[in-house]
Amino acid sequence: MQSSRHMSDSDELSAFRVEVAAFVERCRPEPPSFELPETFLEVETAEQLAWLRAWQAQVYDAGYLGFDVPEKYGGRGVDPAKKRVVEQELARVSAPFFVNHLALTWVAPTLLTFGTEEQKRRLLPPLLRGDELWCQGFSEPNAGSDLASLTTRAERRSSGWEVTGHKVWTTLAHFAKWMILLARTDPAAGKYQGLSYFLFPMEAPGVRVEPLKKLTGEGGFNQVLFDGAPMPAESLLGSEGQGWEIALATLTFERGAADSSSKERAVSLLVALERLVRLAETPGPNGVRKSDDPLVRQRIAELFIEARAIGLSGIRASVPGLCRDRPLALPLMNKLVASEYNQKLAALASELLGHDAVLALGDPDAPDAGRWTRSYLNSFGMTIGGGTSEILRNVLGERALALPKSK
Amino acid sequence: MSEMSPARRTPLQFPELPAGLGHTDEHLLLRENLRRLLSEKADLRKLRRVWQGEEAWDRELYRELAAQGLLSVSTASDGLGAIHLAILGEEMGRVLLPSPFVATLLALVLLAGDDPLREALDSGATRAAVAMLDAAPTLEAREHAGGWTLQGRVSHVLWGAAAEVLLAPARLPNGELLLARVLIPAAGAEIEAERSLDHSRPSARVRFEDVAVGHADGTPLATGALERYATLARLFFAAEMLGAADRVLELTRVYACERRQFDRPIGAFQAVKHPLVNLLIGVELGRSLLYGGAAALDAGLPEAELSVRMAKARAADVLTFAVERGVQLHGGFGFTWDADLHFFFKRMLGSRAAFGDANEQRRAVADELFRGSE
Repeated sequence: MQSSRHMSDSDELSAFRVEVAAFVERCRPEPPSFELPETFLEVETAEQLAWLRAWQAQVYDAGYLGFDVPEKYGGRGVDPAKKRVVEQELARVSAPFFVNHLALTWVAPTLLTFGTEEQKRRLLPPLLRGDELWCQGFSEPNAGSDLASLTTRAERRSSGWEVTGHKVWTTLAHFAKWMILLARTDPAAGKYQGLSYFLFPMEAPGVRVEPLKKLTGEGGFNQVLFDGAPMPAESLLGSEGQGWEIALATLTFERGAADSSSKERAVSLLVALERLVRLAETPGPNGVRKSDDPLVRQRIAELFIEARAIGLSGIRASVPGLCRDRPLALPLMNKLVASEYNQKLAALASELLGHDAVLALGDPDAPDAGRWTRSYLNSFGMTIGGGTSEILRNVLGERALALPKSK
Repeated sequence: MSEMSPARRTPLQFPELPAGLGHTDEHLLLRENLRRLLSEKADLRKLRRVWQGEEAWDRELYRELAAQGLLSVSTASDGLGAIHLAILGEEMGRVLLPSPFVATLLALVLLAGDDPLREALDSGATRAAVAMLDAAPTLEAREHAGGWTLQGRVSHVLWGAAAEVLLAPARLPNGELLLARVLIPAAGAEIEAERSLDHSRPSARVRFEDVAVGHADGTPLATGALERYATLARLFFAAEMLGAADRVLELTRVYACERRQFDRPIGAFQAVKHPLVNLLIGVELGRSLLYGGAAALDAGLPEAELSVRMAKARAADVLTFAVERGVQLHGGFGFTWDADLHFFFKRMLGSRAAFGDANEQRRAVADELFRGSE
């Protein structure tokens, strides 16, 4: 597909866009013989991992990854416009995701903000290329929405630290070399003050990674048990007791608050919508097309309007004059709105499938190879993970509307 | 992936919009000034007095807005554009401005750039209203030696009884459209106030029986003029509804912080907080659609018409949600005449229907999405 010139591009940026589009055209890998997961959250097998890693390395080696990381840390220099162009061009052709997505999106900016020079030099280059994968050790069985009540302990030893505890919903833990780990270092201090943030080496002894099976039947996430697992002194990020502050920054990156460019996200939202439109247009077994039903048309139009609103909000968020009334609203809404949009879209698709909605991945008669229902089920991962929609509504209410805290 | 239908258009995409969504510092300043002016001179206490018939609509404010050039929206080349219209709509909606200013504004949107009537309207000297329901002419015109005679009925003419001149689009026997200017009072023209729930925007029934219009007072309506008028009017009503919804959000937010039950402000309860957040999301997404639609119009993009329909659909749903939740979350007080919520509720009834309700806008969006597959 040809990339079009964008009205907002400078000449240099247009040339860059042409270059990236050519790269994408040339190097976009053929789908492998095995089934790829839908997102980085469901990477399960070694062959999926190898394939996805090769793709990330290919993009990195071509010079198109790391436009938010300075060159001395292996990045391409901070250039948000180029970053956006790359994301747009990749989204346009539905290119595969990056297996180290979590690291690229929320570990890297956290490291850049709080890391020492040594930590940044050591950790960022292999992170960007996908040579070293990362996972996130925040949630625990008894600390979900109330994250700060977590009990995993990190205790000081002469040589560094020792970790004991239990983390859950740990995506990629089975492949990760590093974990961003939030642990309690001072049980006597307050709930928030007693936490510290670590860069934990997953190869340490005393760590057990146990896979968890998702409701889709897929793996990809895990629980991690620590039994006196050692880590060196330099694993601490920031200072002791600064954990909650750094964790909030990470969560902000995770929820996309720091990323005003949800435009490429809108491009991918449209890719899914396009598939929904085609699904509705395809005659069913009785020859009836759902797209002839006025109610179905209304609902699809409403989704299109929502996608348009999300895309425009991404643009608007970068124009401060258009956000004066409530500067926090758009950044804090990002993840909530996008995850609920995806869920509504997949839910409608699944409804339109009728009986076929029940057909699993791999059934020869399953429309779209059974991916719609998988998306529907998986969409709950996005409305729960990284702050549930309910918690995000509290955050919005309290921060964007200054409503009293819910206790 | 599913089989693609053979004759499909290019993949879905959004139009590229100008940087900053076309908004300049001048636009931001206009919004700031308007917000200040209207909050000083058209606050909700004043609205209540006008609503209850204790005070007439504010002629001085009308003149002041006109003197600032705000009626010159969408005149030919030197006029103010769609972004200005959207800003005006939003700020007028925040205060439910009870003024025939809106009727003259819409009349100016309909008038061609070189119409001799423009100046009198622009300057604030003459008040106008459009004698047409949305963008569908119901009047009929017959031509004779001296000009035309008009007959027919129009309902829901906004501020019709306050108009000094009616812009009357009428259909000629050959199907063409005439835009007649009828000075009021005129023989054969009867204008009767409707019993409207919305006292901040009175409407009228207009009956024409052989109303004479001289050659000098009629011009053919150019093709596309009504479509353009409808699009700009949709933009205005979308903006007005979003401004109103934002105000309802603010009123309810403040109430939820002040009203205490069970020893805490009710805004601490998620059953109150979450609907307010849903309203916030609706308003903010709606504003993005609005600014995008206005920018697309000013940039002359072909997608502009549909973009504005999207904003109108969303704004109607958001204001409906806002007034329902606003009344409900204000509890018993919200159910009284003394709370301001019902003003917004009643404005919603008319504005969401104007120039096509949400279902109609979405129908147009769907037709575009499924174009080529019929």
